[in-house]
Amino acid sequence: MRKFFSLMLALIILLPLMGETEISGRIKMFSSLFLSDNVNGQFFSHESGEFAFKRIELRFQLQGDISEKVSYGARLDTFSSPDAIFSTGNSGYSIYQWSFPEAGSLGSPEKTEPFEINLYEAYIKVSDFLIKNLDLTVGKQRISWGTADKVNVIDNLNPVDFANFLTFDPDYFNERRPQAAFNFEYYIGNQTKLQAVWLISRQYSPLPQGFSYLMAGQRGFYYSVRKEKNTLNNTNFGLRASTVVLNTDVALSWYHGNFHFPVLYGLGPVVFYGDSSISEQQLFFVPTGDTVPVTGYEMYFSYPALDVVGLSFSGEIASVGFWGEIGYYMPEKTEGFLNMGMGPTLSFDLFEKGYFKYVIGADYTIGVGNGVYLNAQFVHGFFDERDYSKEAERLLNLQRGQFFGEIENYIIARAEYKMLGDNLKLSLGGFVEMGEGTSYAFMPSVELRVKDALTIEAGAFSVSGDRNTKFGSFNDDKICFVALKLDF
Amino acid sequence: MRKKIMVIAILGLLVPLFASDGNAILKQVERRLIGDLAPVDMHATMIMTIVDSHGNKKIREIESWEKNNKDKDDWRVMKFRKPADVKGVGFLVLADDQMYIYLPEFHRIRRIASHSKKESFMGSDFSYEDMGTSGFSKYYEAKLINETPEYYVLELKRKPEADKPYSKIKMWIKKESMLPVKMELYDNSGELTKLAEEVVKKVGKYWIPVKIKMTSVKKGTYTVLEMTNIELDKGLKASIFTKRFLKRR
Repeated sequence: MRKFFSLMLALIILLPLMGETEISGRIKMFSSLFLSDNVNGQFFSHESGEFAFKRIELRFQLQGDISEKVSYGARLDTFSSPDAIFSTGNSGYSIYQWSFPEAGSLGSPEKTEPFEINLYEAYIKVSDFLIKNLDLTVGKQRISWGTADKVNVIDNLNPVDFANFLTFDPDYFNERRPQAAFNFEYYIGNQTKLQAVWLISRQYSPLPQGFSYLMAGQRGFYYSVRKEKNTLNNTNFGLRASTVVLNTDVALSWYHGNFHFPVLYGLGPVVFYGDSSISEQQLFFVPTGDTVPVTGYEMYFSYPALDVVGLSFSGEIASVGFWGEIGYYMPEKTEGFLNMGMGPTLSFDLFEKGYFKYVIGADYTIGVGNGVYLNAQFVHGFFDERDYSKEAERLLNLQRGQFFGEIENYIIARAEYKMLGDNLKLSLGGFVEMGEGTSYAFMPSVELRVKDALTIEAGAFSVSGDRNTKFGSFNDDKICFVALKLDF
Repeated sequence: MRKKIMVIAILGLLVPLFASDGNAILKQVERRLIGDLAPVDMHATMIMTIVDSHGNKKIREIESWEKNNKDKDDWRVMKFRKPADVKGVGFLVLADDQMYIYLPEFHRIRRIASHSKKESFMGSDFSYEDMGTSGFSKYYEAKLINETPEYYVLELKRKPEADKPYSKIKMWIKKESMLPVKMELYDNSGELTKLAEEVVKKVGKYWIPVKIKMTSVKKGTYTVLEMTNIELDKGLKASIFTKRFLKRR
């Protein structure tokens, strides 16, 4: 894989010499601040007024045509994160520097470095490849499926960028990571397309630095992740057909791949002999010397195979826009287990055989001044949620209201108003989480276009409601942010 | 008394006559804008200069492709070339109620509903509606209110069922080109909200508007839209007006 990307990078460097190239990019400064105390928080440890996250981002983008039918694109992201680690937790162990905002690691998930570099995308596109109306795009690329606004349940070819999810940077909210793929698109007439995508490896969401602590360390457990071998058999693919029927865009899709987030499938006792090294499989470890055995419990994670059959649509009725996505998830049969060291091991099926996730939404502009844009969606199943069997829910504590827990419902909405010739955008977003309890999130923001291509955005994220819900647990993590962006 | 009755009767006959003249003139205008006398297709670069109430200027550059379809809505593709923060954004209009936006940052095409036509086009004094090519007679009843040696002046009143932002339009049509050169646009409360002034030029065998100044009367701002590099009747293929083309650079 490394060779593949090295080759791609070399090509991207050489390609501009062969034809017309456009260079563009962005410089961005992002900084966020906690507005509340939460010294013993589940995810963050902070006092009011502490910086949450600071990052300077420089993006380069190259685009060009080699000929009428061959083009290319590449994007290189670089990040500098001064004061990357803001909060060291309370354990005193340097290894337990788990606070989430230190993540932000696009290029090096699970690591924090003051400077990072990431080849975000690099692809070559050939139009009319072999036959007329067949386009082939090869390389690391973003292939987006679905019609919903950001919360797509069938957009499974590119995993969610979870490393950046809790940075509260709106540019990265629910964003997905490009993947290396062969993407064939065949056009029939002007409105119909058949698509076949071969992803040359399994897809894994990048995880933030504090993830292993969240999943295991905080509970005093060890943690191991099983990944399938990187072989031809373990590559993924997707098929999709899209067209327009009765003035409505419709598409059917099938994704054959894997869960992008680690799935907890077992818990059992484990004995280690102390060693100060940390293996690839053993992300958490307490150094105790060479010969002293350490007993504890280990949580076992894997990325089971998954098939998703999807239907999406979008259109309008009486000027009101509407859209929807339905995904039928079929995970591979996965055996879960529990052994607490007292009595026999309990085994059970981890998932229900198949289950639905869906999104329906609508938008409209009401005529006040320039018009207030309204957008609302009902979501059944956030990207990290799954429908577990009752045993798995009970025995492995995978209930609703937890990250990677059982499926919940959400209403997500926002209103936007532009003024001063679109130079000032006021936005009020928010969502309601409807699980065992209810939590409410508010995300107001103001975006000012100072000059062409130069914008300043300021906003906040605040949750209230039941603390036992997934987002309600951020009750004391109120945050405000400011971002300055210059495009060139 | 008889004379009075006769005058009223003549006026009564004349009013529908003027209305009928108005609609006929409007049809002639539409033939040149979107009908059989309009170019079959057009490819051009649009330079948009937005001037705020303090005189500050902002420039936008858009590449545009249009196809004039018989018996159905015209097709249009617009791709933004400048400034950098909107570069690559594209619009595809296949019908009044079938529009798409392409966001290059996410490689994503989203369908947008026709309610968005109320919004300002790229922060200019034009709305998406103003940029449309759907004509007038479908939505407005026209009446000829004045005629000079050079111009017809029409008053267009919105039909009750029409979903259009302007309740009334006063339109000056140059007889030489049979195209509007000035339009006063009135809002729902009957107040003058915008003023459009157009420069019409003969390009090849067609008269076409090459420069439009749209003034927002209350805000004191204006936008000038100038067409350059105009290419007409080049036989633009239907494949240009597709999502596939929209994603291309």
